[in-house]
Amino acid sequence: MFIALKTKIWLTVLTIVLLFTCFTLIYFPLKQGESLLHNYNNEVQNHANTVALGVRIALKEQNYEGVQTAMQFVRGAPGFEFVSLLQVDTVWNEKHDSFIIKETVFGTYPDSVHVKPGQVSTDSIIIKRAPFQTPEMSGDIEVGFSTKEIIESKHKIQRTSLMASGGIFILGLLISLWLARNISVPVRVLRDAARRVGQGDLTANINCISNDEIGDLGKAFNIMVSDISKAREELREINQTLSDTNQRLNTTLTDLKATQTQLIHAEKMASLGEMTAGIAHEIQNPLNFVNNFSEINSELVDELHDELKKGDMQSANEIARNIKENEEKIVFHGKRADSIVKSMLLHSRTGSGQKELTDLNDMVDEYVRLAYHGMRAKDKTFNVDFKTELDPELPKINMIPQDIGRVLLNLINNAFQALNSAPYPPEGGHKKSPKVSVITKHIPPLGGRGQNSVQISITDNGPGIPDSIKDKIFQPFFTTKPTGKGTGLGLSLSYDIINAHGGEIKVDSIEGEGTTFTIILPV
Amino acid sequence: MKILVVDDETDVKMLFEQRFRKEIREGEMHFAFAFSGEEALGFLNSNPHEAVLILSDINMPGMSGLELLQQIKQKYFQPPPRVMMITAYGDKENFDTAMRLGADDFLTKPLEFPVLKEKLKAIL
Repeated sequence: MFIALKTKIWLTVLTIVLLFTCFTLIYFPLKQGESLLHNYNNEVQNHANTVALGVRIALKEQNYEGVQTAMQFVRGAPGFEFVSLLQVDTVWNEKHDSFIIKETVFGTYPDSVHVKPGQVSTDSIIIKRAPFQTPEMSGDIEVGFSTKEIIESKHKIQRTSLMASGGIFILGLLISLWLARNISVPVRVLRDAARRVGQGDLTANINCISNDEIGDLGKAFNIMVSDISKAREELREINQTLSDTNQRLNTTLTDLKATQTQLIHAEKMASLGEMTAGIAHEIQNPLNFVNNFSEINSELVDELHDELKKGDMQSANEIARNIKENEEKIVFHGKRADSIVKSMLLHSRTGSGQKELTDLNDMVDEYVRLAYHGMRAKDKTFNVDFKTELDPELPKINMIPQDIGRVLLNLINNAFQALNSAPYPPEGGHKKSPKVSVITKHIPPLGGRGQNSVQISITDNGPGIPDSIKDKIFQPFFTTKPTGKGTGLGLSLSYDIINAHGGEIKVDSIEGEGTTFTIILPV
Repeated sequence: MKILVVDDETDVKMLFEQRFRKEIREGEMHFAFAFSGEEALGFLNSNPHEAVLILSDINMPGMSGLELLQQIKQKYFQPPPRVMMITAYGDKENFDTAMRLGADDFLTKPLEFPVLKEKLKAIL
């Protein structure tokens, strides 16, 4: 249950005031009244005792006037009603079997008051007795005093109490108001300011600063808000900086991605460029055959006509058979040229290719030739032997042909280049004829379990790879070629491509002996 | 006189047989074929007394045409047979090497068969 601080202060102060008021209004007058009455009773008793003493002395002296004087001694006392002399005798009762006390009113002053024996105090009158005894007479002095003054005094006290209570009550109210103002109001201001800060308004500030803990709280609050405001401003600036940095990073990333794409394309084009001469040569051979066999066929057709005119059917049949054979060669070499052009286009194509079942042997054969003639075309002194050992049992592999083609081309090119750059063996030394061999092998699953795979190894007997760079060769942009000669992406891309095909590529190299790159692809 | 054609392209055999079909038919020319330098050396070793004219490609896997030329001219055969080199790379360096090694002629691909025919006829 929510009870406002103000209400609590009000309730507390009101409770205290009410308790105090109850005390002043009820308990205090009651006690005062009782005290007054008690004192008055004593006073009246004293009057009775005094009169009794005077009467006893006067009676002893048998001075009846003195008795009169003694009795009238109290007449001037405030509240005096009457004084009476009662004679008390012990007499037989009517049956004369026991004694009774007989009281007789001997005299009363003033005479107008009629006093009966056995009279007691009431609210309006207090009656007290005092005994006396003389040889002549024993009795009681009875005095009566009015309580009028006492009652008036009590009323007076009650009125004073009421006024005092009222005063205290009003004072209490004023204190409540003041406390509420000094505690509740600043606390509410703080609360409202805190709410505004919570809603994001950092201009919220406490203006009414009192000189107490709440004032300190207000000051602390102001400092806190100012700190938060500063911190938020700093945060905003940092965020802005971060956002700017992010923006720049994003731009850089986009640039890098674009550059990467360009580099990959450049790498492709570079390897393709190296192949251009090889491709030209490779196309030249089948084209020569196509041209030659076409020319021959053209001549043979003329000869066929001649033979037919002569009617030499045997010769004509012979010639026709030749034409047919030549035609087959034309088609064969035409297709050969076609496939070379196609593979070149495939190689230069960007974007992801589709996986298809491909004969790896054909591919190896083609790319070894391309690489060889490419090298040969560029460098006239290039003279490297190459050998292919292609496993006829090699299963077809599901792969992206242009990607694997690039890997093969890259590795074969590297092998040729390694040999070409190797120093010629010294005269008289062991002459090692430079040689590249490419071997394909079907690897059946181990122990009849697992997966079929194929292994392609490309070996050269060149200078080998120094141990110091062996673990770097697959890193992007690592190249041993002079600046501008190699992109440093060939092996890195090859590695990625083989990985993407679920295969592995590894290198074994002994310095001075040669290098073997081995690719294993799952079937 | 036998003409030994050395080329790694096997269809060269058919091509020569067709191109020189008249000469072969009339017995003017006799051709033999080898598809590598090693095979050519084997042929020469097994037919030592046949006077031979050799037409060899230069760019072949294994023993190249120039190596074959070197072996023929410097090592094995006396008197050395005539050797005509054929290559797609008709550059000066290739030409010079071939000449230094003792080549008798140097032809570039694509072969001009009428020209070759004239040359062969002149030699024969």
